[in-house]
Amino acid sequence: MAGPGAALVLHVLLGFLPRGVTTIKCSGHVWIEPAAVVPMGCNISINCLSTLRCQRAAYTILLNYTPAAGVLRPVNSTTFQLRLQDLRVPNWIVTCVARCPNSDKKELVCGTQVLAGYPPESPSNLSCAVHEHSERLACTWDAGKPTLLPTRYALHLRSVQTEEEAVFAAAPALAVPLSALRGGSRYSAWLQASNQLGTARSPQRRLDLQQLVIPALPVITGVETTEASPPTTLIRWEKRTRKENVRCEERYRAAGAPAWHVRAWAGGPGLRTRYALDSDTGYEFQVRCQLRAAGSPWSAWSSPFLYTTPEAAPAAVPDVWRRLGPVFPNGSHEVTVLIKPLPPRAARGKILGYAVSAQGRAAALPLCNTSATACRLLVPPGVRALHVTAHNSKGASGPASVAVSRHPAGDKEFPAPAAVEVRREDRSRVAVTWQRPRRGTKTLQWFILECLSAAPYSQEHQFFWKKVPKQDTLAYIQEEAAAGSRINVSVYAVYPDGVSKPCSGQVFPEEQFPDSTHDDDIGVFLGLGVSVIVLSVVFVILMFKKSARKRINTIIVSLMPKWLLEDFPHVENSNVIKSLQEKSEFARNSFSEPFLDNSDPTIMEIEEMSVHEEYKIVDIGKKHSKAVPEKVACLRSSVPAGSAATEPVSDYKPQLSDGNPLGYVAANIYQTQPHTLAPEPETNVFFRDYTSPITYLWNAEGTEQHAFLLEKINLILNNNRSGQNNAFDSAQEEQNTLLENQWEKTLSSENAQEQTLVPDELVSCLRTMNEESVDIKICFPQSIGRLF
Amino acid sequence: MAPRLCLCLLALLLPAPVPAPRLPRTDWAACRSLSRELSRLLGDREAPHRVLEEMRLDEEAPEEDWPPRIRCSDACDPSTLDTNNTRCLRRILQGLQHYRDLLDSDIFNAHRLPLLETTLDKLLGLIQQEHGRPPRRPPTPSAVWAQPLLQHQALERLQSFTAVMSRVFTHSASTR
Repeated sequence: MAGPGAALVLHVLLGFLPRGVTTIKCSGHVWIEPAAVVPMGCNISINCLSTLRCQRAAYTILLNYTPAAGVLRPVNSTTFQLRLQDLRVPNWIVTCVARCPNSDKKELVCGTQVLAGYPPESPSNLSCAVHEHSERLACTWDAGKPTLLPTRYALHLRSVQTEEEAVFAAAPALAVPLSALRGGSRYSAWLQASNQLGTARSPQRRLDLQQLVIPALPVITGVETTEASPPTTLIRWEKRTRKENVRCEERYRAAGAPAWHVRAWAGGPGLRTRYALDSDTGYEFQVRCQLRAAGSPWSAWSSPFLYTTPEAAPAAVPDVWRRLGPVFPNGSHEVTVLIKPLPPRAARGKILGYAVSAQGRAAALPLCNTSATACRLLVPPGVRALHVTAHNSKGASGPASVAVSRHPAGDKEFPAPAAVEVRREDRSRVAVTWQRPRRGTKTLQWFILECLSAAPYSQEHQFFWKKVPKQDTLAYIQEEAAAGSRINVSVYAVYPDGVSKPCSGQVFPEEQFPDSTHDDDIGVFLGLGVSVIVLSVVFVILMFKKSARKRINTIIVSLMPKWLLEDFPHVENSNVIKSLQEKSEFARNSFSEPFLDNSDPTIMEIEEMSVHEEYKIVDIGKKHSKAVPEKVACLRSSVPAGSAATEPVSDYKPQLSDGNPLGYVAANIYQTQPHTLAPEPETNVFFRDYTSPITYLWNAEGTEQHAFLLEKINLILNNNRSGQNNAFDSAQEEQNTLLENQWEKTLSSENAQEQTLVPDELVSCLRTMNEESVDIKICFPQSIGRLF
Repeated sequence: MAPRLCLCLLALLLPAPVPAPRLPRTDWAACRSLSRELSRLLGDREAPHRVLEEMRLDEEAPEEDWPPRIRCSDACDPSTLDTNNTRCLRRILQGLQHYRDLLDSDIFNAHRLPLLETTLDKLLGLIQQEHGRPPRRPPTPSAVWAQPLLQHQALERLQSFTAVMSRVFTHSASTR
C-alpha cells in the first residue's frame, strides 16, 4: 500500500504541472459584425471562418445550440456569413460547426457570444445612510430600465473640504467603509452607470455623514394585557441608540387587516405604549426612527413583532329566536331555541357553549346547556320568556331574552307589521318589505324574519331566520340553496316582553307559477295515457287481422334488399374462393393436373332421362355399395383419377362419409372434368331460374345418369314447397305431378324437415336411396341414417 | 552497581515501544457500490442539447497525462491489482479529484449536478483515507460559449473513467 513517502513524491511531481486545461480546440474563427454586444433590435452578421481541411464540408451555425434559420452565404472559399435582422434575444451563444463528407460527427469550427441590450439610464433617487453601528456608508438608487447587459455602477464622492474624489464600485450593493472617507464629513456625490453600449450619471447631491446616521431601533422587551374591562395591552420598549434627538413612530394592525394604525412617540425610544386591542386577536407591531436633524433619513420599518391578545368574556349578547311547538295538557309547551353565533370581535374567544334558562317569578331555572346553536326544550307553564347566555373560557355574556308566550294580550298590546311583500331581485337574492306596526303601548325592539323555503317536488324544507333593526322595513335573504324554490316569509315585531303575531308573504320560483304547475302535470299524464291506448289498439289489430299482417309482410319484403332473400350466397364473390382459385390456377400450371376450380358454377342444362335409364343407374349404384370401401369406390368412380388428390382442398364439406363426393361437387370440383355432359338448352324446364350450386351437384353426379338426376331435381321441388325455394312457378309444378307423387310417398312420413348440417336436398336424396337399396344406406354415417 | 542503576533508570526513562499506526483498509465493497452508482447517474443523464451528441470536441493543447485516464502503465490489470494496487489507486484518486474540481468549476455554473458531486465526494472520501489528497490543478476559466461543450465533454470522459474504475473495484471487492 502507499506510504506517506510515495504520496509526498507524487505530490511534488504533480505540483509542477500546469492548471487543468479547459479550452476547446477551434478549427477556425467566429466573429460578429458590427459587434458582439449590440443594441436590442439591431441587425447583425455572424461570420464563420473555417480552417478545416476537408472539401465540400456542410457548415451550420447554431444559435443556443439550435440550427439557425436563414441562409448561410459564402463570403469566400473558407468564410460563411449568416445575417440576422432585428435581434430581439438578449443572449445568444453562437457556434459554427461543419460536417465533413464521410464523417458521422460534426467538427467544431468555433463559437462566440452575442449580447443585445440597452445603454444604462441615468440613476435616480440616490440615497445613502450610515447605520448607527455599521461604520459603513450604504447607498441605494433606482437604476431605471434594465439594460439586459453587464452594467457597472460606481459611486463618486468628492470631498467638499479637500476636493479629493474617490470612486467606489458597486458589486452589486454599495457599502463604502467610513474609514475610506478621509475628506471630512461633507461630500458631493453622484453615481455613474456604464456598460458596453454607453454611460450615464446621476445628478449630484450633497451628503453630510453626520446627518446620514440612522439610529439603532428600539426592541420590545415585554407585553402584557390586563383583564380589566375593556382589556388594555401594554408594550415595553428598550432603547438601543446612543444618539440624542431621536424620534420614532410605530404602527400596528390586526393580522390580515389592510390598514395600519400609525402613531408617533412623543418622548423618543424607551417607553411604554398602551393599546385597546380586540381580545383573542393576532397583531403585528413595527417601529422606525430617525435623527431629528433636517434631511436625516428614516430607518426602514423594523421586522414585525407578533402578539395575540388573550381571550375575554363575550362582549355582546347573542341574537336568539324561538319556534313554538305543541302545548301539552299540563300547560307546558315545547320550544326550540335558535341562537346566532357571536361574531369573533364580540365573542372575544372561543364560545364553549350556550345556557338557556327560564325567567320565572322565582330564581332562574336552567333548561338547556348546549354547544350547538339550537336547543329543543320543554317550557314549564307560566314561563313567558327564556334567557340565553354565551360563555367562553373567560366568562359569560349578558342574557339575551326571548318571549315564548303565545300572544297573551293579542294584537293590541303587541302590534304586528303589515303588508309583507316578498319578491326576487335576482337569482340569488330575495327582498322582503313590510310596513311598521302601528304605534302601541310597548316599545318596538327589532323585527325577526322567518324564512321557510321548499324545493319543488320535495318534502325538504329549509328554515332561516334573521334579526332586523327596528328602523328597517326592508331586508334581503341570500337565496343560496333555495334557488328555484318557494319561499314563505313571516315577519314578527319583537317587544321587551312579547312578540307580535306574524305577517307573512311568499314568493314562487321564477319559472314556476302557482296555477301552471298542475296543468303541466295533467298534460303530461294525459299524453302518456292516450299514447298507451293508441299503441294497444294497433297491436290488437295486427294480432287478429291476417290481411293486415300479410300486407305488412309484403311491404317489408319489398323494402328489404334482394340479397337478403336469396337462398344461396354468391360464391363467386367470396374472397376465399377467389384466392383458392388463384392458387389452383398456379397449381394447375405447375403440375399440369386437373385442379379445383372454385368459381361460381355456370348453369348447366339438364337432360331429361327416361325412367328406365334412371333405375338402371340406381342398380349400378347398388352393385358398388355392398360395403363401405366399395361404396367409396363406387361414388368416386365418376371422378377422374387425377382429381383424387384434390379432395382435401375443398372449402365445403358436408358432414357425410369421407368418400362422399357430393361435398366436392358443391365446391365445384367437377366442373372442369372433361366428361361432363354438354348442356342441352330447354331440356328441363324445372331449372329455368334455379341458380343454386346444388344444380352442379346433380350435373356432376349424373353425367351419365339423367333419370336419377331427374329424381333429385324433384327432391328440390319438394323442398321448394316447404318454403325453401320460390323459383318455380305453379305451371311447371303441374307438369311434374307424376314425379312428385312418386316422391311424396317417401316424404309423407316426415312433414317437416329436420335440422341437419347436411343440405336438405341431399338428405332427401339419401332417404330415397334408402328405400331403394339397403346397401347404399350403409355408405353414410349412422347419424344421418337415423333421420329416416 | 552504578552502571546497572544507570541502565535501569535509562530503561525507565525510555518510552515503551509503540505499535506503528495501521492505515485504514480500503472498503472495496463500498467503492464498488459507489462506482456503480456513479455509472448509473452518468448513464441516465441526457445532453441538454442534442447537437452536442453529434459533435467531436478536441482540446486546444492536449497533454499526454491530462486529463487523468487509466492506462496500461497504471497497473490496474487484475494480476497486478492482486499483488500491489497502490499505483492504480493513485491514478483513480487523481482522476476522481480532477472531475470533482471540474464539477465545481464555472463549466457547471449554470447546470449544477449535486448528485454527481455527492457520489464523487463519497468515493473520494473512501480512497483518500488511505492515500491522502492528491495535488490539485484547478480548471482554468472558460469562455461562456464553450461551457456547455466542455460540460458535455467532461461528463463523457468521466463516464469512460468510471467504467474502468468500476472494473477495478469489482475485481478488488471479489478477491478480498
